[in-house]
Amino acid sequence: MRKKLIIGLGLVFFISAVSAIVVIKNLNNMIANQKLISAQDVIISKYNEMLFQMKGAQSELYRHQAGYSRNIDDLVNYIDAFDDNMMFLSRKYSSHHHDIQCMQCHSQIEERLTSLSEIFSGIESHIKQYKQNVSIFITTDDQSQLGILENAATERGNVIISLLEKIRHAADKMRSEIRNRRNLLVNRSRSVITLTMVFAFAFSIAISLAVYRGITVPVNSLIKGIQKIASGDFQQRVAVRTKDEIGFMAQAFNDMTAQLQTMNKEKDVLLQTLKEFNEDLEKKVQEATEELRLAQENMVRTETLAAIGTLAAGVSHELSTPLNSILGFAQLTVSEMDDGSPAKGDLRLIEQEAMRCKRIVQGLLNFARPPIYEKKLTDINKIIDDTLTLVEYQPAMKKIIAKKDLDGALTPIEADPLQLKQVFLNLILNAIQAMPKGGELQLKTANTPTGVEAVISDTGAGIPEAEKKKIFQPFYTTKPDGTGLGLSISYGIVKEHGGEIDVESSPGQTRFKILLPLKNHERTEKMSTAVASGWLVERE
Amino acid sequence: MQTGRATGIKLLLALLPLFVGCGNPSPGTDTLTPKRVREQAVTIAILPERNVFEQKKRYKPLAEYLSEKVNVNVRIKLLDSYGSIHHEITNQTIDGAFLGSFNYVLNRTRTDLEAVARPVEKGGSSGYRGVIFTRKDSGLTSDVQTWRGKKIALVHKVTMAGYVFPVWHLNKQGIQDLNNYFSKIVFLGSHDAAVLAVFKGQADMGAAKDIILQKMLAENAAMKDEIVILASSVSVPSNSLCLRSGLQNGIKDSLKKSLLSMHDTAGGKAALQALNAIKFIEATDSEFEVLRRMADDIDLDIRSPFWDAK
Repeated sequence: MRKKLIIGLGLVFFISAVSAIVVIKNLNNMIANQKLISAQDVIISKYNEMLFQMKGAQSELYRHQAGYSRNIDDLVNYIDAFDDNMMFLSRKYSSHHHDIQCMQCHSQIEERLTSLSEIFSGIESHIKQYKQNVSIFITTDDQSQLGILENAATERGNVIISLLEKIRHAADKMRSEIRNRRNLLVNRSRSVITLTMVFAFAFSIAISLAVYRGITVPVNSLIKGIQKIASGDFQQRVAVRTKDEIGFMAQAFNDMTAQLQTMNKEKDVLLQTLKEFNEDLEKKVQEATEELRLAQENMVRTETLAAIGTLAAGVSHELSTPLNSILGFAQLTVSEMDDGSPAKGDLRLIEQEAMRCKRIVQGLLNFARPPIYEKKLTDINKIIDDTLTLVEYQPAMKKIIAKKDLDGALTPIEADPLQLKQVFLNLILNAIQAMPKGGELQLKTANTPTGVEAVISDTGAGIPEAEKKKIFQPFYTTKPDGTGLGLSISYGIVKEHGGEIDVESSPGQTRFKILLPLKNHERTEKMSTAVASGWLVERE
Repeated sequence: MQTGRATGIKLLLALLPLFVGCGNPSPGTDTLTPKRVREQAVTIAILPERNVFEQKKRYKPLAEYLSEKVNVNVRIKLLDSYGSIHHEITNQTIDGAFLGSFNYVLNRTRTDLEAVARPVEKGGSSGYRGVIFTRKDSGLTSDVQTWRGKKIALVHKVTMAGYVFPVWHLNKQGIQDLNNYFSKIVFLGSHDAAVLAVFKGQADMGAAKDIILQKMLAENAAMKDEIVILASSVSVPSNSLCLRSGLQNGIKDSLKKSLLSMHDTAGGKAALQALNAIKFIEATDSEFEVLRRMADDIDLDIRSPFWDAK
């Protein structure tokens, strides 16, 4: 940038200097020409003076000879002055001999000066003779010579006057030439000065603009680059190719930007890693939270079930005897009554309701006191097939398409087949009941790394989200004649086998997934845990 | 930065010659020194003993020097004739004159002129001689008999060299009537005119001051080989500055004092150079006795106006 400024200012200075030289040169030429004209005017005035002096001398000579005056001072003074002017002009012309500058301005100056010198020599010779003639003429007593001397002096004076007029004419001509040349020079100089000033101004403006652009364009480019990078665009590079301070700054800036870009990429990678770590952590937290929630729910559910189980065991034990009495007496009464008895119908209703109560009590007992498990290698596929056979003749199945996707290579597991059959039966019956207008029942099994997986899904209305948490609770049912114990018992059986049961439901589809381990190592421990928690009551 | 400054200075130095020496040299200008105006003036006449223009050239520096020294406007007046000096003195149109020795003697008898100072030539002489000369081919010798019937060019009757000496010389040789002895006698009014007349063959012989003849011979080589001297006089005082006795004493004394001391000043030396002199010495009337005797010898009455006023 400094180099540009120095070069720019140097060029402007150079152009100004050249312009000044051109202008000064032209002005000098004009002034010199004007001086030449003045000098020529002086020369011509000298010629006029000399003519006047010579004519005056001639007159004085005549006056002296005619006896009008004895005074020769004027005569001598005229000639002296003539001599002085002559010397002045001789010096003037001799100073121009071999003057190169004069020769540049006036062609054939040497020839002219030589011609003038010859005339001057002639005049000098004549004036010398003239003075001699005059001197003798004015002092002589020789009357016989007076006429001759007078004529000689007068004729020589006339010759001098003639030469002077000739030389003055030449000087007039030269003055005219100088004037013409001066006029041409003035016109030319005016044009040259005008053009020079215009060109100098234009070049100065152009150079200033070039310098301005040479400085501002890279600076602007640098500023734009900085602004883009400031806005986060680290791809941006400053396109400055100059080899000056700005170019150096741009290069340093680009290097800095490249480093920033690298750092930014590293930062992005770190941020991405951190984000993934956060997401993973969040996911794990969510999973942990969900597990905690499920565990909490399980714990609540387990405790609830245990409490219900204890309660149910006591209640059912206390209710069994009176219910048996009610049922027995009701059946006895009915059997003793006539068919037409109006109370017989009521008694039948009492009998039915008592039977229903008995089933509930039995259910409670089953819930509170699970049966003793008889573990053996059990094929889940076979249990599903057997269970499906049991329900095939249900009327509702006529509208339902059952699809099986059972894994032929399903690994047998250690389990109580009867208990598991009850689980699958509950789930299949619930699915059938969920599709009163028909649908698709899908049964699927598959091996898992730790056991087997069985999925029972239907295309029913689905379970509302609010109810999903309640379906495994005892006595919760949406069916008018349900006991609300089926899924609770199923849940307990699966847990008893060390497995998991889960439900996913959305409108048009409900899916129960059961995971069962190959071996139920934890059964005894879990059983103990269940007994300790009061959920399981040992069979009496 | 240092490099940039040095480059700038070099650029300026390189451009500097372009700003000077442009254009033609201005024509020579003559400086004019205004003349001092002085209330008093002294006019000194110069006799036309040689070319009047030469005379003016010789005496002009002296007049300027004296004007400066005496603070009086000393002006030179050229006379067209030796004879007019008496008229000029009498009418007081002049205050003094550089007079030839015989002219002084003549005017001294009739006016109140007195000799003040006279120059000493470069050779140490403060006088001159009258010479009679001719061309080599004229056949004339120092024997005055060879002069008979010749045309002689003289200067003026009031000059020693140009008239008194030739008459005196011929009288001594027994020739009294010059008009009959020579075929023609012409008075040319100046010494150089007499020399030129002989040199050009307009006269057979002539008489003039030796210092003027010698000067002309020195300036003209052709003349030097052509002119021979036939006779010469004794030395007489050179042209002296003579002033009117009635001139204001202060001015007269100042003029004399300035003349006698001018060889001690640079300006005085320059003025002496123009006169071909080295100094001025005091002039006394007694030095001119030799001329009075010559006049007596030829029975010339110096108190009467024997010469033509022209």
